[in-house]
Amino acid sequence: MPTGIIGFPDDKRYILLEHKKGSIFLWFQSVDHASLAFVLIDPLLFKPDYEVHLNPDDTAALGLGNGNEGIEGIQPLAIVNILKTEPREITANLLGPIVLNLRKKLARQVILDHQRYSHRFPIPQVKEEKVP
Amino acid sequence: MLILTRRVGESITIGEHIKVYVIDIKGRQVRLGINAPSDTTVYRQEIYQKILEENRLAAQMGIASIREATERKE
Repeated sequence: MPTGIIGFPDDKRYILLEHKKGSIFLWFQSVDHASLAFVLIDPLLFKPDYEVHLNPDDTAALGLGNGNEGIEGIQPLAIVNILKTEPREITANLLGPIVLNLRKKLARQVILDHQRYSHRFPIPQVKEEKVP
Repeated sequence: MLILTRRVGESITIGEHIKVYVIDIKGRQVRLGINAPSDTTVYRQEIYQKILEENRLAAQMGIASIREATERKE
């Protein structure tokens, strides 16, 4: 991540791990600080019409050049949060997803249209198996 | 902090590569046009702040709360 996650500019290298086998949750673990990790989820699992619009600075940071390389390997993942409400609400940040370029191993946190997407979108009950 | 006055149609230059134009003023709202290099990202401050605070909150989640959450969801 050339620019890191917003608020964490010093951590630029992360690894993506499964939470556990078959889980819909992933860990985005900082390589440089063991204590820094985020939980991610594929927003398409619960928001099938989710759209990510990349600005020229986003595509440049993701190594997409002129945009003719196709979207293969481009994967948006939302950061998961648990609100300290009662009952606990699990939310996904759809406003500022982490977009991965899996082919080039690049990632960037992009900010989308704030009138369209919430930073605290409640994750509904989702099926255990991933939707193919 | 530098404070200056500009009219509609005028601009300011920040460094070598960033230009901010005052496009229109309506009441208490100002429309700005910003020209910046592709490696400079421009955000609305309140949106940037919201994402930053949400990231910090997400980074503080403990393993226990994750386990609790994932067991409930899966």
